Order: sequence, then structure tokens, then C-alpha cells
Amino acid sequence: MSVTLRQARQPEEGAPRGAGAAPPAVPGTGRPVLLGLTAAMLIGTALFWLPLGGVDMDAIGGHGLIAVLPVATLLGAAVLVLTFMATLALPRPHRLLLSVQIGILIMSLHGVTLALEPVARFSTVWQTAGFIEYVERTHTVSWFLDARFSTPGFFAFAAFVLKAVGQHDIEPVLRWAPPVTNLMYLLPYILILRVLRATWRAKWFAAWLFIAANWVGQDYLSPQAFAYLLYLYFLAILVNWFRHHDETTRRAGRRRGREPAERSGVLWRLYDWLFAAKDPGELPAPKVSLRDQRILLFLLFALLLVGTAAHQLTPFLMTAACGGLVLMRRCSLRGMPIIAGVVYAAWVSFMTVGYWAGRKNEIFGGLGKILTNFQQSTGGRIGNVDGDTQQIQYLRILIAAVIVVLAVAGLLRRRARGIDDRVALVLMLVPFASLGLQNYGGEIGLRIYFFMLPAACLLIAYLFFPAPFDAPAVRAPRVRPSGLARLRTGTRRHWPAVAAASVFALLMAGGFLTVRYGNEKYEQVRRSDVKAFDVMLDNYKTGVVGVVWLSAEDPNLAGGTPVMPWSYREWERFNYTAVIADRNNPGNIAQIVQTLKEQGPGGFFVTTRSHEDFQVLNSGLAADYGVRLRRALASSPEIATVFADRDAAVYRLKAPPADPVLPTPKPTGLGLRSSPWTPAGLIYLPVLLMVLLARELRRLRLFAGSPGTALSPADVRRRLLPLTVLAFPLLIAVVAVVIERFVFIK
Amino acid sequence: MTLLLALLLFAAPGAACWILVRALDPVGRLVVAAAGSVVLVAGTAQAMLMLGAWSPGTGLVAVLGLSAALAALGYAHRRRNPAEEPAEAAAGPAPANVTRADIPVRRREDDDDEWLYRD
Repeated sequence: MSVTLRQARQPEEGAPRGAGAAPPAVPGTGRPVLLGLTAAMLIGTALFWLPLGGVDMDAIGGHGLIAVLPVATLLGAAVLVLTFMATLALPRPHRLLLSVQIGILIMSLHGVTLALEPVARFSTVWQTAGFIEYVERTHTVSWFLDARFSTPGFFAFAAFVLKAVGQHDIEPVLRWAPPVTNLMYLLPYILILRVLRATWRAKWFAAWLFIAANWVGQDYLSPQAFAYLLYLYFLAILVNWFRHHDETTRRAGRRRGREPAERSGVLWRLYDWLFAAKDPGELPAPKVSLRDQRILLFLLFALLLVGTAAHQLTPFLMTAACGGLVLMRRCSLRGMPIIAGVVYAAWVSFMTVGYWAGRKNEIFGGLGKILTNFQQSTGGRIGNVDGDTQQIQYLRILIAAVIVVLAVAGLLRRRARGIDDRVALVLMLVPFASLGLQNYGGEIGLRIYFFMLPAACLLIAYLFFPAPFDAPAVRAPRVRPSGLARLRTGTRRHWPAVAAASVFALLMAGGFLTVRYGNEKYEQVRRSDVKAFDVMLDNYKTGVVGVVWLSAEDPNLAGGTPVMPWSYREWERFNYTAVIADRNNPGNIAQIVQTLKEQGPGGFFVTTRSHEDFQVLNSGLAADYGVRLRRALASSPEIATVFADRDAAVYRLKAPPADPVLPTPKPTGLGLRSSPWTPAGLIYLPVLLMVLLARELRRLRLFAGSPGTALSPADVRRRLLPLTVLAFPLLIAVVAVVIERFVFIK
Repeated sequence: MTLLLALLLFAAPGAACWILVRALDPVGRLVVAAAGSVVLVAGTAQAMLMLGAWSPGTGLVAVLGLSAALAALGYAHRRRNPAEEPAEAAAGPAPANVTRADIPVRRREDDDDEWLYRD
């Protein structure tokens, strides 16, 4: 008996034009069902948002926001999740309904604190504001002040846009950044999803997961969030329009080994499972004219340049992802990884001298510290920590592990169906390449998870919905399935898979609300926290403010910074000195007074409730440490209270010493430096990039026209030979200049 | 108001890219336009910062000028090749049941440059 499966109509793909035969009709959904789903969506939204007004943010403990969210809000979140899953269970996609629900999900998960907190959460966010303000005010950067000024692309971008539209207050932008950023990520992600050989359910569920699994909090207004957007655009363009020409080429095959019929036994089965012919997990690439491909190539190059100037890690991942796709024969731009690598190396060598010149040993120390990085990423982040906070940390690791395991399971399930998901595999593995490269310390684990997400979400969606296309319901009147088997036939045949996915989706949404806002006790920023820094600037108009802050552990070892919106403006006017807390006696302020004296006339001691809570939860200070310290400071005869309320306090000496007075540092720019070979490098580099680009344009020309030009690889190589010969010495020259700069500049 | 201005700032380069890649399918075109607008605005800002010529007014003019140039390129191409209608060339990925066996084979004789390389 032979069974022919035809694809059911997939309106999401757009009906195939001019295909001739009309696709089989799909049963529609009654209007009452759609109205019911819409009503459920609205009820869920109302349940989620309306009770938020009564939340007591002071009651937050070590478990974070989840402990104080009203039951109705959690119920609303569950209703929203289940409504989306119910929409997935319908016989055909209702794109408007699905899109609206994803929009509501973004607002609910990533924007919940908008209703709870008066100013933008998370102290690191405010440092971005400080960088942007610095660029706006000084019209340049200062490599000496912070390493992040070495890749100032994003700060320039934000400062330019804010100035151009006349937005002087950056706070609303900070507040709204996470939901808006996530919304923007979806656009390129949709483009990646649509070239995959999967059902609409898998694709929509992957898009949903991409929002719900992104708890790492790297989507605030920051260089990495911006560069990630460029990374997604880069990938989307690569997998859509620059797929490997092998996929569109037919050549006479070559038999390897024996006939399949002769193959038997476990080993052959394993071999077939791994290497036998499989359907690619991607659809044939959309047709595109040579002119458009050229434009897209230039766009890719521009994305690469802008991304390199904006963030230090992302261009590495762009290079690696492109290289991986080339190696796995899913990308035709074989020279692109080289171009990306040259751009990246040149940027690091020419533009970030200020950063690496003084840290050569550190950088080499960071290379290959894979094991240490890994320990810091997982165990290292959990040390002398409060029990509740520790549970949240473990939950984060658990979620990351579950995501990886399920993604691998999804990959295997597709493979068992004879589908080879190479693009997803490459994008899943590439982020791990960054493990040993950056001396990011513990944060690299979060970054890997973040960059893995697009592929991981997709593979998890495949675990539940592995089919390459929607097969129509098989109707054989004589076959009457009974019991559970009835679930697998007819229009309800998707329900078991959707039900299983719903359980996972509920857990993910709950997990998101728990771990994303798990540290909300100290990650929230209060108005007074910001005001404290204004007060210091107002009280000391010129020169550097010497900020003294309390740390339970030595910040030089722990790499700590105050958990406050520090330096959110006038970046160069602050200097930070930590005082290590006296764990036994909070009232002992001798060390603070001494350090304040060393700061001269601009010395201030600042503390905030969030900062104190951080020290309590993460370093094991006594719960009332902050209160007792403040009481001791306020009653000290040497100390004057500059500003104090429940949330923040600023103190200074009543009679500060007249010196030292530190002058405000002038902007130092990017700190570029020259070496004997640098001028030559500056000439070779653009020429090399032009030759490499010309080589890629030539390659596009060779494969242009109607698909399937049967050029052999040897032919291609021969026709590219002149440009290869030209590029090779230039490449060596540029590499030599990079090395010379690294050796010469001290 | 500010939001509107921000939209306008990105709409100009976005529209230019939209005109430039007329032959792509709508979703692809939208993504290219979005990516192009971000790249153009961010690239302008970065170039100003790195060349030490920070001036938001000039930057705005530069963004608009570059957008106009791109749009002009798009129009020029359209005038030269009026036949190429977007509807024909426009296509997303093929439907899921199309495999590479369905793709027509292009013969070697169709390659314009082929004679150059004949031994």
C-alpha cells in the first residue's frame, strides 16, 4: 500500500502562486470559538494588570517579585499562556490573534515593572544613561574612564537619536527599552523562522518561547541588546538569501559504499541515522535577483561594521555563526567569515588600544580559562548568599539546563524523522565558542544562553511539533479508531502535542516571572537613589566627587560596583572608593570617616536601601546593618547628613580637609595610538576589505541567474583566482600590522 | 510627539531601502528596510563620533541625504528595468513540500561568461 501525503494549506507561508492545483480545503473555525479566545485574552490581560496597583514593593524578599505578585496576576498570566496555546490548537493559524497575543505577552512579561516601579529598574541600566549623556555633552568619548568607551557605537547612536528627536530625559527610554527591544527582536526572528521546514504551530510556538525564555535581562538599553538585534538581522539575511548553492544545484550523484538494501546491522543503522540522505530542515531559498543579492551583501557588511563598533563580543559571534553556516554548507558567502574576522581584528587593534595596551597579561590570562569561566558562570555566582536568593540562582541554572536538554531532544526527534536541521544546530553550537575567548568572567554563561536562544527555542518547538508540514487528516471511513487513538485523528489530532506544550509553556512563563525578577529586592531603583547622585553634584559644583560606598567583600576581588544608579550623568566627575564593612559592629564608622578624609573636600558617603539589601542577600551582612550604620552616621559629631530619607542617604564630613582636590578629567577620545607600521596598515586595510568584497560580489555573479548553474567547485575557484591572489598578500600584511601594533605599543 | 519624530527619523532611511529592494517579498523587504534604517542612522552617528565631528544637525542632514541617494538609486533602477514587476519576482521561501529535486536545472550553455573559460 502506498500513502501519499499532501501538504495542507499553510496560509502563513502565503498561498503558492500559480501552483495550479488548489490546495485541499481546511476546516474553518467557528466564530464563537474565536470570540471566546479573544475574550479569554482580554480577561487574562485584565487579570494580569489590574491588581498590580495594590502590590507592596517593600514586602519583597529573597525570592523576588514572584512572592508579592497577587494571585490574580499569576492567574492572568496562566490564562494568557493557555489562550495562546488554545489558539495553536485551532485547525489553521489566525495570525492577527496570535500576533496580538505575543504582543501582550511581551508587555506582560517584560513590562510588568512599568506598573510597579516609579523609575527604570536595574542599576546597570543607569550607567548606559551615563555613557550616553557623556557623548551628548562632550561630543566624544574617553577611553580612560571605562572600558566600555572602547566600543562606543551604541552610545553614539543613542545620543544622536535622542538629540535629533529632542528627548532630553532619558529615563522613559530606559523604562520602556526591554519590551520594545523584545518586540524588535521578533521581526528578524520571523524571517529566520519562515525559511524553516516546519508547521505553523512550531514556528509560532518558537516565537512565543523566544520571548518567554529570554529571562537573562540583556535586553535593556545597552550595547549588547543593540548588537544582538544586529546579530539577528545578520543571521536572517544570511539564511534567507545567501544559502549554499548546493541546495539549488543538481548534479550527477556519486555512490558511496554499498546499496542501501545491503546495509543491515546496528552499525549501518547508526551510520544511516547520522549520515544518510536527509531532507534539509530549511526550505529552498527564496529566489532573488543578482542586484538584490549585491545590495544585501553591502547591508551585511554594514551590519558587521556597525555591530563591531557597538559591542565587543557580538561581532565574534557574527563571525562564528557565519563561519559555521559556511562549514555546514548552509551559506554561499564563503568569504564572509574572513571579512568579519578582518573587521573585528582591525577594530580591536586600531580602536581599542586604550583598553588592551595596559592589560596584555590579563587578556592572555583570559584566553583558555574555559574551566574557570565555566565555574564562575555556574557555581561561582553562588557563594556567601542568602538561601532564598540562592534558590533563585539554582532555578536559573535549572532553566538553562532544561532548555539545552529539550533543544537537543528536539533536534534528535527531527533527525529521527529524517530531517537535518543544520542551521538550527549551527546557531545552537556557535555561542559555546565564546566560552574560552573573553575574560568576561561569570557573565559569559548568561551571554551564551542569550545567543543560543533563537535556535534553542526553535528546536524545543520541534520537540512538540516535529512535522515538516501539516499533513491533512486521514479519513478512511472503514477505520474507526477507538479510545486514545481517536485523539490522533481528525481535526483534533494536534491536541495532545499542544497539551504537552502548554504544560511546558506554563512552567516557562512561571519560571520567567520568578527568575527575571528574582533579585527585585535590590534590582529596583527608587527615586531617591537617583536623587542621591544629584545631591552630591549639587553640593560640590566643580572637581571630582569622591564617592565612598560600603561593600561587604573586597570589591577588587569580587569585581563589585555599588548597586545604585551611579554615574548616571556627569560620568567623569565621580570617583569611587569602597569601604569594607565591619561585620561585627555596624556602628563602627572609623573606616568611613578615614576614607572620607582621604577624598578631600569632595568626599561623600552614599548608601541606598537597594544597595544595603544587596549586601545582605549576597554577602551575608546582618539584616539591620544598613539601619544601624545610618543611625551611627547620623549621630556622629564629625559627619553631616546631606540628604536622607528612607530609601537613600548621603553624608559628608562637617569639616572636610581642603585637599586633595582632583581636577575633572578632560575627554581623552578613543585613545588611538600609532606604531611604525600603522600608516601602512591604514592603507592596506580598506584595500583588503574592498578586494574581499569584490571577491564575494564575483562569487555571487558566478551563481546568479536561474538557480542551478552547474559550476564545479574547481571552476569557481579558478574564476575567483585573480582576486584570491590579490587578497592573500594584503591579508598577510594586515595581520602583520596587527601583530606589530600589539608587540610595539606598550 | 517625540515618538513621532523618532519614527520619522527611521522612516526616511527605511523608506529608501524599501524602494531600493523592490523585487523582494513584502516581509523580506520590511526586514531589509528596518535593518537598513538602523544601520544608516547608527552608522552616521558612529562616523561622526569617530571622526571627531559630532553634530546632530549635520548628522540629520547626512541621514536624509543618504536616504535620498538610496531612493534615487532605486528609482533609477526602476526606470531602466520597468519590466521587472515586484509581484513576479516576489516570493518567500518555497512551500514545504518543494524539495531541491523540483528546482529546474540550469544548463551550462545559459551562462553568459561560459565561453571565456572554455579550454
